[in-house]
Order: sequence, then C-alpha cells, then structure tokens
Amino acid sequence: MRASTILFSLAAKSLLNRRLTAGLTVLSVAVSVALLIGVDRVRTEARTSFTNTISGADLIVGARSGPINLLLYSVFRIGDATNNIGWDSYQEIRERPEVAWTIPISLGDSHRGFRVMGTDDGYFEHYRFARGRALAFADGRLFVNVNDAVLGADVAASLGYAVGEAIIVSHGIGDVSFKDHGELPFKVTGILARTGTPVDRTVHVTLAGIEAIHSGWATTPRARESVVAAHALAEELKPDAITACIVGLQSKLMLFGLQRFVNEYTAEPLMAIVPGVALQQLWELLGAAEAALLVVSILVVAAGLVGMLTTLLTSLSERRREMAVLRSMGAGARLVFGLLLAEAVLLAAVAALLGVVVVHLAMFAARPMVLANFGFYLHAGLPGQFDLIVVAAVTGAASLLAVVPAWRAFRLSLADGLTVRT
Amino acid sequence: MATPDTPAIRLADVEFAYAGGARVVEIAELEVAQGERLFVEGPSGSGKSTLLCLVAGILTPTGGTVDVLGESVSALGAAARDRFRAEKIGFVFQMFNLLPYLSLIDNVVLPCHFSRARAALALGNSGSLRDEAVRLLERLGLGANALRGRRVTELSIGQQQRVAVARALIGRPPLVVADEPTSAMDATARLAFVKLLLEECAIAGSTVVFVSHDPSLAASFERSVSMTQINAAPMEGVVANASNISDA
Repeated sequence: MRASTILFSLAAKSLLNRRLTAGLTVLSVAVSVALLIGVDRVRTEARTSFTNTISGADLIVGARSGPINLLLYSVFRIGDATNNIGWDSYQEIRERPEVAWTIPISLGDSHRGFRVMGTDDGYFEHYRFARGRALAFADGRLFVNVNDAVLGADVAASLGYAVGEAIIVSHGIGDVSFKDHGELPFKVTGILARTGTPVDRTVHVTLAGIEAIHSGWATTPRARESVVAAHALAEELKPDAITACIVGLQSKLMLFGLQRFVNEYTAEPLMAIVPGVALQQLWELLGAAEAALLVVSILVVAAGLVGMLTTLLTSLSERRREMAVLRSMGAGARLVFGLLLAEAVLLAAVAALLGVVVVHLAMFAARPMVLANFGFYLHAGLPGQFDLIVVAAVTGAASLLAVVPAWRAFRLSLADGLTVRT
Repeated sequence: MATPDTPAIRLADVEFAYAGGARVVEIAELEVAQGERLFVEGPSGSGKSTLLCLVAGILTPTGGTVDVLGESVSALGAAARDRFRAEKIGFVFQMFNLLPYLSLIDNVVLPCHFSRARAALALGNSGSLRDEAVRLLERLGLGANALRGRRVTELSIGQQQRVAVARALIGRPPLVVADEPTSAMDATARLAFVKLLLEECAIAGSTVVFVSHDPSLAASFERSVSMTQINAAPMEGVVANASNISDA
C-alpha cells in the first residue's frame, strides 16, 4: 500500500472514530460554505433573472419618481406606483412618430395574492423576455371580452385553475383583501407558458376590465349580457389613467429624443427610463450590500476553519499515545505530520462538498418562496465553476491552517518518542 | 548484512543526555546474540526506556555506537532509522498498544504497511495479510470470531496485550522489544503471557529484549541484566523534565 493511501485511510478511520466532534466540525464548515455559495448564487441568479425579465423594450414610462422604483413596480411587480399616467398623456406618447408600439400597464388589484395587470393585445404581441422570447399560450387564447382573464403559469398551477374557470378580483395587492370586486367575476380564457419571470405570477385582464370593476359598470344592465367584447366598450370603459407603459421605438436612435420629450412633458410629471440603464443603477445600489454580504460569508467560512483548527489542536493531547504507537512501527514524524494534514483535508473537503449539496437543495426548496417574494427565479442548476473554486479554496485553506496542529504533532512525536504516556 | 554470528544488539561506550540535562544512560558494553532472550530489569528512572529508544533509533546517542543486526543505527539519518525500525523491530508496550479506531485485524496488519519486507514475509506465510493476522491471533488464543468483531477498546488488558504481540510478530521481525508489557496484569496472567510471548518469538526466530521492573519474571529468560549494573549514569530520583521522555 502506498504511503498516501495508508495516510488517508488512517486519517479517515481516526475521524470516524471521533465522529461526533468531526461531524460537528464538518457541519460548521459546511454551513459556512453553503452560506458563501448561497450568497453568490442568489446574487448572480437575481441578476440573470432580472436581466431576463425584460427584453426588447426601449423605454418605460411612468409617473415621475425614481428610475429604480419605476422599473421595479412596472416590470417586477415589486412595490407600488406612486402615481399614474393620465390616459390622455399615454395617448399622446403612443401617437408620437418615434413610437412603434406601446404596452399599457395598469396595476393595483390582486387575485388571491397574485397581482392583476390590465393591459391590451400589444402586451402579447410585443412583450419580450430572456433575450427576445415572446409570450406563448400553454392553453386557451387571448382575452377578448371585458371579463376575460389570461393567467401566468404559476397562477394557474398554484391555484389549480383551468381555462373556463371564474375568478374574483380584489382591490389592493394583499393576499387577503377586504374589498372584493365580486360584481364582475372574470373568466379564464388562456394560460401562458412558463417564462421564469414575474409574468408567471400575474393575472392579465383588459384595461376595460380593470375600469369596469372600478367604475361600477358591472352593475349596469349592459354588463348582464354575458359576453361583451372589450374593444366594443373602449369608449365607454376608457380608463382615466394607467400605471405605466412600455415603449418600443421605430429606431434606437430616437431613444434620447423621446426620453427628453417624456421627461419634459408639461401636462403632468412623467419619467421615461431605459430598462438596461435602470437595472445598472439597481446593481450599483446593491453592489455595496452584495460585497458586504460576500465579505461576511467569507469571514464565516474563516471562522468555521478556525473551529476546525481548534478541534484538531485539542485532539492532539489525547492522541500522543497513538502517535507513539505509530512511531514504534516505523512511522516517521513526517507521517504524523501528514496524518494531521490528511485529517484536515478530509474534513474540509467533505464539509465543502456537503455545503455545496446543502446550498443547492436549499435553493431548490426556496425557489417558490423567492419567486413569490422577490420576483425572480433561482435556477437550482448543477454546481458551477464558483462551487469548484470554493471547494478547492476551502480545502486549500484548511491544509494551510492544519500546518499548525501538524507541526505541533510533529514536535510532540519527536519529543515523546516511544514513550506511551499513561 | 547480518550473519548468524552478528550480534542482534551491540552497544559500545554509549552515552545519552537530553539537551541541557544530565547523562541518563552510560553503558560501556551490552551485547545480545541473535535468537537470545534477554531480560532487562531495573526500577523506574534507571534509563530502561531511554535504552529502548536508543536501540530503536528513536534517539541517537550523544556518544558511542549502537549497532542493531550489524547496522550502525546511531549513524543512520532520521528517515533511515524509521525505515530500519519498521523492517527489523516489533514493539510491545506496557498498555494501550492498539489504535482505537482500527479493527483487531487492521491493528495487527498495520506494521506491514510500513515495511515491505515484513509484508512479504507475512504473505509468504499465509495467503493474505488478513489471513496471517488471523493465524497469529489464533496462536495467541484470540481465534474466536466474536472477539475479532469487537472494538479493540472493548477487549481486556490481557487480550489487548496479546493482540499487541501478534502485531509485533507479524512479518517475523528479527528483534522484538517488550517494554513492561505485563505491568497491568496480575501475577498468574503475567507468567502465562511471558511464556506465550517467548514461545511465539522462538517460532518466529526473533531475538527478544524484555524490560520490566519485576525481577520475578527473570527466570523465564536465558539471560538477565540489571540496569543499575550496566548503566553507569547516576540514577535519577525524579524523572527528567516533562517535555522529555519519562521512564515508565
């Protein structure tokens, strides 16, 4: 048997013999590694997911607030709008020569915890995500009538809805709302294919539908006619305002021209943002917090490794006899040194690998919760390069730190020689 | 290389002192023939353990030469001394000879991982190292399967010491050194143990150096020497300072 084989075999058996302390050491290092990888994964996944949520949109227009705020509530359904865009202003923007298409967004209602968004056909035609993918129907068709609704994949899946089902929309965005718009039940006409974006968690209805539940139109005799096409009522149920709109331009060259037009619009305070620029601002804002989190998790890993060092050092005094026995069989003091090093490497490698497994399982488990609360998908993919680097770095750092107990064991075994202390 | 006439152990004008300490060993001459069974008797602090460390090449003398089986151990480098010890010497200690995290069999086989020669000899005897370990354990009265499944810490002291003998004998090392192996046993168990040890060493053809403070065991050996006679260094009333080796 080769020297390294006997070394690792002895180290492994010795650790198994001390499985309680070794196990706790592994656990503490594993948790710290999981934290480090978790922080990094959530960071990169959040970025990818946010970046993938909107694609092909040139500008987002909303009431004047902050660019990040507008981006978050219009696209990611995070937070609420501070104000609206008047319908007339929206029309004016829409009719500008630079504008190729617009998607109106009207928010403020919910259905059992999922946001309800009023929009029009343009949404299904022009909305793009994940570098240019268009929305597709998994089942059913587009909304046509005032009380038609198109569900995102998660809404349908988690509430168990199928096409043809009736749903009641509530005012406000809480899970439990005190005010239901029960007069006008909506009927599910379509369910969208999964996108991995907040679209999956949105109930889409027509702008007329939103207006209908708010204006009390539902109680009018006209509403009792079972099927009313939304566009037939475009004038009757014309909204006063919308929350925001997404704008596609004829040419990118016109971007700054239209942005200036919107920002200098005098009839009401509006703002136009470039999604990519706003995202960049968001990353800059979060950058410091991310860096702090990363530093903290690296320190936690360091603390875990120091804990391991302590365990190895305290084990030495009770293992001097073992060292003497090994020495008597011709094991050199260098083997004793190697034994301690091998134990540290085994502990750290097992702990780091365990950490990787734990973090990926945890991310898989936390996915629905993260999507519901933070609006992005955690792809519980296979361990990547970063995981490998962390495993290697933790193992490497452990073997460096283990030089301390290994050196001490080396010195002790030289001093003790064959004396079996009792 | 050692011929049958080469002494198993030969000490000439050996002196040893720990760094900064007084001389603890001063032996003008000690010779042990191959195949001889030598009993070394002496009270605590008489330098017995230091003598064994010198023979085993754990310590190097501050003066004089230590030859073991024709090899001048005191002239070898540290790694060569470790290798020499692995090849040539089987040890039995006072107690706690066994590694608690290895099985009975693995404990017995362990020296073969440090010495190719002993592994080869063990394999020559039985089909595998494991079989050889089982054979030796059977010879030492530890053949029962039930025993072998136990953790070594669950064995009695006497059983543990016999496992240690099996380990010392695997691969038939030419020299077996026993350092107070019976001090934790009662009187009848002691004699039986010494008898068994000597029988097995005779079968293996190993020279035996047996150190004890109990003169009643001397009768089982061919020759007996007293540390107080061969060691000219002043005997220490108190053991050397704690960082150094203490006599058992």
